[in-house]
Amino acid sequence: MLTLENIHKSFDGTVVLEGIDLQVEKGEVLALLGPSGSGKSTLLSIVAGLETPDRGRVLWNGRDLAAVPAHRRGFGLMFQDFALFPHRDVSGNVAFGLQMAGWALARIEKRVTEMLELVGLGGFERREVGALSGGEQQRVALARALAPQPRLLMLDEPLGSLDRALRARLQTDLAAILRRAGQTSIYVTHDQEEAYAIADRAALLDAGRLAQVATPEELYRRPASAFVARFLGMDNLLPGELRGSGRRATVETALGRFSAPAGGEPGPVTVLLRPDAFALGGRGKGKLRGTLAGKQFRGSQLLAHILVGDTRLAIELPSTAKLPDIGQPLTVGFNPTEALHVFPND
Amino acid sequence: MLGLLWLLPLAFLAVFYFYPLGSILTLSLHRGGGLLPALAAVFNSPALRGVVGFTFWQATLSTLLTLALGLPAAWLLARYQFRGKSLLRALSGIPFVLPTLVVATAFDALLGPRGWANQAAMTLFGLSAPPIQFVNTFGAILIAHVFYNTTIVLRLVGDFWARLSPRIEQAARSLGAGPAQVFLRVSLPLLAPALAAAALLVFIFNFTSFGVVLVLGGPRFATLETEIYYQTTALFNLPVAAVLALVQLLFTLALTAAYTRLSARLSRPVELAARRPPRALRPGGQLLAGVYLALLVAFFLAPLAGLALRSVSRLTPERGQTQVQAGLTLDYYRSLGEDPRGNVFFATPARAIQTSLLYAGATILVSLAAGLPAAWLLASREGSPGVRLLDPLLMLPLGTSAVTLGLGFIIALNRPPLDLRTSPLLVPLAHSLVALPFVVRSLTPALRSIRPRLRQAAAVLGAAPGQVLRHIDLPLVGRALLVSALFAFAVSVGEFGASALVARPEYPTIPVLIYRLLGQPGAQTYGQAMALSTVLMAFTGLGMLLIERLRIAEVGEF
Repeated sequence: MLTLENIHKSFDGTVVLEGIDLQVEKGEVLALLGPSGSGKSTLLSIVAGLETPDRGRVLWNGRDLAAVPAHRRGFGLMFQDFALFPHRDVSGNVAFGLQMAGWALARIEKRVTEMLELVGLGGFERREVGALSGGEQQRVALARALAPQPRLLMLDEPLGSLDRALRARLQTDLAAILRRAGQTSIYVTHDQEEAYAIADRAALLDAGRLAQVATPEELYRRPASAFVARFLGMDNLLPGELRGSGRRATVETALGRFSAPAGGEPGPVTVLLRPDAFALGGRGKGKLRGTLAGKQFRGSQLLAHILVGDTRLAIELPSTAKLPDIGQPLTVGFNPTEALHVFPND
Repeated sequence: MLGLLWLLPLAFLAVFYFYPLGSILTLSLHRGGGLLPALAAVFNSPALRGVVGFTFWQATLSTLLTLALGLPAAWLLARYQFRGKSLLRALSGIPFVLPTLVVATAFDALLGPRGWANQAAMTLFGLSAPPIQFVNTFGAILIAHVFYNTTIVLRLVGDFWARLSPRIEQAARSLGAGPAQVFLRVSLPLLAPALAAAALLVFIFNFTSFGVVLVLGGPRFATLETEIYYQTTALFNLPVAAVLALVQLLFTLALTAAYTRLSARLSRPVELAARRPPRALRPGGQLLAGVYLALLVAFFLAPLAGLALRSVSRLTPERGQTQVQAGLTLDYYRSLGEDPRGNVFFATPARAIQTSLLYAGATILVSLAAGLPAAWLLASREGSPGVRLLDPLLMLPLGTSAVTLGLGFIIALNRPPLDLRTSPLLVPLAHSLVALPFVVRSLTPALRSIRPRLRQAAAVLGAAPGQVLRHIDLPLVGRALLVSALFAFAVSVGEFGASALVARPEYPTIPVLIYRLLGQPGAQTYGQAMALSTVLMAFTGLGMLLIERLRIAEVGEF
């Protein structure tokens, strides 16, 4: 079990990580989400032992790793830029960790073949890594990280540069591989869908701080802050004013006054209207009248943009929904207790 | 620690490059009473003015001839697919890496009075004197220069031409331009920067050419280089030599600066076309191109083959005899350890080989000692102001003539505070200066290729620091180290200009001894010169072959 306690790190006066507390249970896959520059890669480097935190501790099963150098940690790290060894061929790259661990030759060979099969590169053993495509290099890097069966595997945007189809396939494969092996892993990505598909829990980093740590479903259902909501693609955020408290609490916005979920401090707040909580027509307690400003067909969904006064809202509808022509009025209904989240202002 | 790294290459350059060159400057200015009077002294003397004039004249003519011979080949290489194309490319590169003394000897073996052509003509027509006057003519200088530099035109212009999209020319055709107009109004202007860069580079090489002019031109022709040598070694007139060296320095500096600016423009792509597969030649053109290319290949190979064969053939009678049993012989190689003239100051070829190899070993050590820290700094501190200063400094020796370097050594290092007159290190130090740019240029990209990421990746995979060094750093740098050592070796065994000035008479290097042997009568000494040249050609060829083999394609800046 990996435990991070109060990790701080800055480079040249710029704070990159600030008070990170995090646990990864044995056999768990934790997705580390966040926009670029939020400190994800630095956190991995610290866990791997490639960087030293300014403050805080990295513990494995309760043991402080401060004095354990990177090569003795038994952690695997797949780099975002692959960092393949240019002077070794594909199998030489995959075998490297096994050679360092002192495996017997025959066993190394077997494991290398197995790993290359796993990532769909069977028969590539003798290829030069410089001659591979970006996607192939990525899979070699993945095989190399997996091969020595690290007790913690860290993957830094492992599917970043793959095309869509390969990405979808490997995403499923990778999830299966990690599950089957009960592989304790940290999976860095900036793509929420990827995190939902692979992770047991997700940790969302915002400028060096943890914004939320939760299961994917909880993250989606109950974003903890406006930042989390925005990161997850929920853009209907409006300024508001919270009044009253308890069951009588209400929130005043440009779209009107709604009853608010309990538990907030009165004062200025940010209000999220979940795009997935609307339906066409006037059903539901809440009701908004506006005009249709635009629509996008998204396969199983239809994304409609409606203008209510000066406020633009995006709402997700089933793709069978019958929308009026653009510029025509329409009414949408929603259930405020489901659709409304009220966040304190940042 | 880092300060020390800076210190090593900088101290090396300061003591063995700037100090000698500064001494030349001081001496010439001291004599002339200032820069302008010193230069005026040269240009007021008709003899010296003639030297400067001839230097330009021979360089210009050689350059034009080189372009004339090389451009059609560059065009064929760029636009057409034909059999033996890669062979032509490889062959054309051979002369460029050969030591000047090998090239000079090779032409002597082919066209000199004791060479194949003359001996054959004399035998065939029963002549008593060699009919072909080649050695000691202006033509010899020109032909040898063309032989040397054609590859520059092929590489620089040919590669640039191949990168130009044929679409541009096709567009011109579709707009109504005829073939001649397309060439004059489209292709030529587009090629102009490459053409100018190639011409300038060839000109620089011709301008500073020493061995070829000295050996093939003979005493009748004097360029700045040979005049510096003559003033230094024959007349011991160091002040005049220094003034000439100053003139030479100013010209080469200006030319090199112009070349650097031009080649910077070259790297800006005009039209980045994906290399289209070149066309095949039309049947009519095939014959013409075939004859031309065959002649070109013969031109590259004949002197070298002539040299190798001449070193195992007895053609001319020994002194005091009139008859010769013509035929194959290994005598010249057997006699490499002998001194046919019985002169005390004479060093045997075997001794010269030994000396050259020792010097080459020392050159490898010295140039790597100065070059490795420099390359490491260039690779790891890329873009820092210090490095931006260091980089051109390290390349300076490349733009300085070897004879000038040699003269600088003689002036500066022959007296306190640094008296190296009797030091066996004098020659290797000069060679190391010449080799330094090559060493740095082959090491830097290799060191740069070891990104810190690779070491991190190895560490995460369980490699301890020692293992990282063994499995990551060494394999990646090891090759480049070997390549730069080979460059240093090849430079050292072939270097003539500086060695001719600073090598001690009783310890000549191979090229210095070849030059001496060529100047002496006798079939035996001539044969020794041929054998020694062939040995030198083999050393250099082997070195270059190994370099080609070892160099990893994506790692290398040549």
